[in-house]
Amino acid sequence: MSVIDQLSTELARLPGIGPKTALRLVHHLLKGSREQPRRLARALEEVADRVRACRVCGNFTEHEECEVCVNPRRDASIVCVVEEAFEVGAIERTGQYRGLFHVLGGHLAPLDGVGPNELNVASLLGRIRDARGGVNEVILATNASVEGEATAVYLEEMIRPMGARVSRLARGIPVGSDLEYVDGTTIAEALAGRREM
Amino acid sequence: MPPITTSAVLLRTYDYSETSRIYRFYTERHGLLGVMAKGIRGRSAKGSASLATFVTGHLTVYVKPERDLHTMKDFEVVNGRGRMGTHMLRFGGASAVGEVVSAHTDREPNSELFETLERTLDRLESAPPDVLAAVSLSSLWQVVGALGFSPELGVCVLCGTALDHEEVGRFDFPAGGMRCAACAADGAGPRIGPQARRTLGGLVDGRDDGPVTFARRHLSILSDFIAYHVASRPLKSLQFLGDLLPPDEVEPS
Ligand SMILES: [Zn+2]
Ligand SMILES: [Zn+2]
Repeated sequence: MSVIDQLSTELARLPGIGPKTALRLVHHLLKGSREQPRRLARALEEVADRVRACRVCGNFTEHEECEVCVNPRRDASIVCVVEEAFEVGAIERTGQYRGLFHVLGGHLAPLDGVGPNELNVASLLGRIRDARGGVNEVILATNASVEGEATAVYLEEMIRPMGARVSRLARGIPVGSDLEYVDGTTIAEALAGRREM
Repeated sequence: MPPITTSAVLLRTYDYSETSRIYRFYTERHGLLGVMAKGIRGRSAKGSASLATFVTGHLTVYVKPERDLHTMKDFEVVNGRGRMGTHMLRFGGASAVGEVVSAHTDREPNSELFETLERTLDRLESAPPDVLAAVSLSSLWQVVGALGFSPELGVCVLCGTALDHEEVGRFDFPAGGMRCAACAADGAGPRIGPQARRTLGGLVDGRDDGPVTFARRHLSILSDFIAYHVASRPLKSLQFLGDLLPPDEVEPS
C-alpha cells in the first residue's frame, strides 16, 4: 500500500468522510507547502499524546484535572451532567454557568449494549456521596431525545434519594424560530415548561 | 423516479456527518428501509426535532431498487410518542421490540408486523408502571408472532398429544414449543409447570397484561426462542431489558 493510500484509508475512517473525499483531502495536502501537512501531523500527535479525561469529571484536559474542576471560583454545589465532553464547551461558551460538570460518555443505548455500567454513572454517584451533602443540585443536561430522556430518568432515580435537588434543562422553541414552523412535539414541551412572567 | 409515501416507524438513528443522518424505519409498504437524510442536523435543520426514536409518521422517500440506502424527502409526524423515555421499562421494552423488528431476516413488507409494532409501542407508551414488565414481554411475543413464529403451548411438539391442564412439561426450543411430560423425560429445555404455561399463553396472546411473576425467567425463554427462530445474532436490547426486570423471587413450580 502506498503512503497516499495509507493516509486516505485513515481519513476515510473519520465520520462523514468517504473514500473520494479522503483522497481529495490528501491531494489538497500535497499541493501546497509541505509545512501544512507537517503542522497537521504535529497537532494530531499532541492531541493523541496529551489530551485525556479529567480524573474527576471526564472533561477533556491536558492535566490530571480539567480547568473547570481546579478553578476555586466555580460553585462546587452544582453539577451539570452532559453526555459528551464537547458539550461542556457548548455550555461554557454561554458564560452563564458557574458550577461543575460531569461527562457521562454517552447515553443509554440498549441496541448497542450501553447500560448504566457502560457510562460514567458510578463516578457521578461517588462524587455526590463523597461531597456529603455538598452537592445541592444536579442539572441533567442530556439530549432532548428519547435516549437522553431515559438516561435522565434513570439518573434522577439514583440521585434523588441522596438528597440533592435534580433539575433538567428546559425544552422548547429554539431562539430565532417562527412558531409556525416549530413541530407539535416541541410546542407541547414548551407549553408544559412555560414560566411566569 | 417519483418519491413514494408510506407510514413508517423510526427504529434507529445514526449520525453520518456534520449535517446528515441515517435513519432505519419499519414501513408499511416497503418493510425495513434505511434512509439518508441530508441537512437534517444542526440548529436550523427543519424537521430534525420531530425525528425521535419510535415516532410514527408519513415518510416520503426516493426508493431506488437494489440499493440499501434511500433518500428522504420529507417526514410528517403522526404520533410523536414523546413519553417513551419517561420510564426505563417503557424505553427498554420499546427498544427490544424495535431491535426484534429490525433483526429479522425477511425483507418482504408485512402489514401485520407494522400494525403489531404500532399497537405494542402505543401500549408501552401508555401502560402504568406496575404492568410494564408484562407489557414488554407480551409486546415481544406478539411481534414474534407477527413475524410468523408462535410457540406451540397446547399440544406436544414431539408426539402431538394435547397437554393436560396440570401437566408439567419442558420447552423444546428447536421444535418451538412444549413437550409433554413423557417426551420431556430426557430433561432437555426449561421445565414449565401449569402456572408458567398459563402465564406464557397469556403473554403470547397479549391478553394478560397484569403484573407478571418470574419476569426474568419468562424473558429468558423468550430470548432463547428468538435466538432459535427469529434473529441470526444475539440481541443486546434483550439483555438490557433483563437488567431492568425485577429479580425472580423463588424457583417457579
Ligand atoms: Zn474536571
Ligand atoms: Zn409428547
